[in-house]
Amino acid sequence: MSGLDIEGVRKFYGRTEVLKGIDLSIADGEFTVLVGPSGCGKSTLLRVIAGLEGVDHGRVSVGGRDVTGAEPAERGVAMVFQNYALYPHMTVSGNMGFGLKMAGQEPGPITRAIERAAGILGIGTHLDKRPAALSGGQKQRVAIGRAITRSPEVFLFDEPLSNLDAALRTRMRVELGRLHDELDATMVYVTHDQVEAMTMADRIVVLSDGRVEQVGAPLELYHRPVNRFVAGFLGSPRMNVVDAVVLRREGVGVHVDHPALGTLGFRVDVDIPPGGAALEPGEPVALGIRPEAFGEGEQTLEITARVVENLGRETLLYGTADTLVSSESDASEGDVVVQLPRQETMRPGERRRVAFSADSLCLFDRDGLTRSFARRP
Amino acid sequence: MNDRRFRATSLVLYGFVGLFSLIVLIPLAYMLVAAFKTRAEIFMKPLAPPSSLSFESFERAWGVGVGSFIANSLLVTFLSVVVIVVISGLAAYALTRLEGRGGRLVYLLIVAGFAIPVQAVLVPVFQTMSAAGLLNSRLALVMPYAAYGIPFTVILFYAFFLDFPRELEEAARLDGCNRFQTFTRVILPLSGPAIASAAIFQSVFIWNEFILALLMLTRPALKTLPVGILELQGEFTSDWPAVMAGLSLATLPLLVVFVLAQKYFVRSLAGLGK
Repeated sequence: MSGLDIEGVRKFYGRTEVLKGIDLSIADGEFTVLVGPSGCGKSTLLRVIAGLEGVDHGRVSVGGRDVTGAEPAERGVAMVFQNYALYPHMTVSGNMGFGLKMAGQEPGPITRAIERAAGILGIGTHLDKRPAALSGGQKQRVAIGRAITRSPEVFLFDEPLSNLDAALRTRMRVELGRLHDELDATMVYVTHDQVEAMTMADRIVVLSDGRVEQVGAPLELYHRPVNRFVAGFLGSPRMNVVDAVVLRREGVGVHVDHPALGTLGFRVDVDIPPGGAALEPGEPVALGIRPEAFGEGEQTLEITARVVENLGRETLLYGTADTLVSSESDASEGDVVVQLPRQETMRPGERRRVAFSADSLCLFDRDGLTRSFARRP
Repeated sequence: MNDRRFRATSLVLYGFVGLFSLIVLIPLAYMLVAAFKTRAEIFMKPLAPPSSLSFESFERAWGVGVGSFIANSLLVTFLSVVVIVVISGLAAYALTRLEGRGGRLVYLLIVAGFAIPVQAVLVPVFQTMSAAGLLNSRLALVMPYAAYGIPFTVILFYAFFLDFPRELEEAARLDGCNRFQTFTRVILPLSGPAIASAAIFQSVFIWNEFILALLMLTRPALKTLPVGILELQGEFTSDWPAVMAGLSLATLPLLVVFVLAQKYFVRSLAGLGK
């Protein structure tokens, strides 16, 4: 049992509250990724778990043991830093064995632990080198090896791949996934890269402004974001979001209207929770549609292309829609992003009619909470 | 066009540097040359090279006790530098890592201490040492030297520790080091350049220090080199070659150290002012 429990953790820097009551429970052996925009508190949360930062309220437990006031080394955690943080004056094996040496272990077990970690990571030939003689990828492996040698209950990663080039990052991503399977260890991983989050995580924790927005499996978060923030944060290009108002209710659905352009002409089925605020006519709402949800459906939209990005396998179309003004997307204001699953030979200025289904729309109420998920991803 | 202007600028600059080097080096060169001359030669033909390369004047200078002066200087310099480096290192590290305004305030006070000239407190320092019964002991030099070396060295270390990567300290904490172990096992081994430059800088100053040494030490057996050299002048009123030889012997060790370690010297000063 080496899970991780965070209960009501709050943290202030001076008067600024950077963690506003975090509750999080991470199961034994789970790979959890913390994501969020910069300044959301994800790194602070990781440092709180590591014990590098204290908390002002709340509790941190590792494997059921309260470690809130414990020193970092007593917590059973190991951390891999963004810029490796290898000791330049020690050899690779010196770096990897330092924690065990400080813990007073005998040289024999230390050597065995180093050799085991080096074997897992394929750095056995570099053990006598200094960090300065290694490449970025090798340094990162040594940093991971240093964490492995200590056989911690929880591994903490602070954006470990962001200093590597794109090709190496992809390789290390796969390797970290393999490592997680092999060690079967609890891992908490901070990143701002949503590809890393989507591909590596068992569960993703989306943070914003010191709060947990949503916790869930990657695809669950992608398809069933609880609010407008999560919907906009996951997915690249971002979800298109347009402002609308409720026109009238009809059964389980509402008809919506665009405030500036009049009737949009379709109905969106909504979930109205018992006791929850009903969507009344005249209430401002927002509609979201993912760029890849365009393709087929009963609704159409005429788009004038502004920028066309041909990525080979797919085409990204940034354009203005005559009947739709997006208030939030990766394109400039007022633009809609459409992802077409093929190569297109379009020029800027060309008009194109794209289809979509009302079933692929998300509806957010005035508080930004999702009231209707896309039924057709 | 630009190229030519650049070349003209560097020519002028080299000219200045060359001139300055001459101003510094000519007395040094003269000292060395004069040390090999005879007593007569030095007055008859002051600018001519020595007629023969004899080490007699060096022998005479050594006979007065230059050897023991050098030993005294070495001891005092070594002790003072050790005290300065240890105290300044710990102080500067603590000051850079203290949270809040306290650290900054203490740092400013230390910097202010740097502004007090030795001469201004000469009398009180002398009286303190005299009252403590420390006159004519090496401690009477080591303590004031340390007091004067620490502010500058704290400034030097402060700039260095401020730039020291925090992740390394955090990694050390995760590896189970307490603050002191972090300092001794991670920070200190990586502070070689800063320590070297601080040590060289202070060594030069202490090796050459004259006025305090003159006041505190009256027993010849304890005298440091700058004060001892003065003895040469009294001993041989007309023996200038011996004085020059003594001075050469005094300068040489420092010159060697400086040439070997000038890299650190320049580098440390380039980082000041944070």
